[in-house]
Amino acid sequence: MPTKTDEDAILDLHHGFVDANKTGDTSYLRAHMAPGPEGFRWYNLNKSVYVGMDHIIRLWDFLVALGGNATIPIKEEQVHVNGDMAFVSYIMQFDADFGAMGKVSQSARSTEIWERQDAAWKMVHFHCSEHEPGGWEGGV
Amino acid sequence: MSTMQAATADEARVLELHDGFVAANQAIDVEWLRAHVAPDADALVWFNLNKSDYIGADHICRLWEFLREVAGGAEQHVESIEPHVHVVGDVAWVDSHITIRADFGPMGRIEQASRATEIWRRTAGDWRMVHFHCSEHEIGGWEGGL
Repeated sequence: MPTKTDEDAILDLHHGFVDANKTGDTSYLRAHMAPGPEGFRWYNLNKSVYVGMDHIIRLWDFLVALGGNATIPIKEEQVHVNGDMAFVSYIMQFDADFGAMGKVSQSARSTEIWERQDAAWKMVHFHCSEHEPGGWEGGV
Repeated sequence: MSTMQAATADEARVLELHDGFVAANQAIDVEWLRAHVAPDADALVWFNLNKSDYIGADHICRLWEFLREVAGGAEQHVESIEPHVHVVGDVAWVDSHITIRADFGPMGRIEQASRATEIWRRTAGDWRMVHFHCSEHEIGGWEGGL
């Protein structure tokens, strides 16, 4: 059984991750993503894939240079912890201003996967995509 | 069939389940799906390629039954590319790219490159899917998105 402490830790990390997205805080990514260029696939809301920490940090640095910022209210969070693995799924409203590159306003769904490595939880996978209720057979 | 080499027996089993899942998508095999997803009412959170969410085995099976009916036996093509399998204890996850060419009869055709995340959990020795997230894949995002 997961301990309350593990669930609390993942929830804190998840909220920190959402906050980091609002300002493009790459120090959060450096502190909490699994390091290394291999093995980390980030499936971004822009439909493209970023592989490894340096790649996604390059994107965030670009967005910050544009003066980018976002509001990201979230709902329907589900946190699951099993031993040394955890995942979080949730719905969010992503409203961002990327300056000269334009604005984005989109409902989205996210999956975070976390793994405990050397006693510290690290994000090992992220998947974010557009959310649109109303799919066939009662998609919500 | 995946070309990834599994390093452990658990990885091999999860890769086998991934291949079975891809084949079930191609055959719209509702029975396979029901046998391999978490059975409890709200134990499965499924973020579908159509951008909507389906909660629980009954909900996603209802969609697949609908698709099987409208497809009317038409040929479907679903292929997994470069699946990566990760197993830590009793949880496993697979990230992959999946290409889909589907013919849903009167509801239309779909041809789509996608990204997929599967999460599997082992309970009493039996792996069940507890989460699936599939979305469009489009190369060319800012800063070298692949």
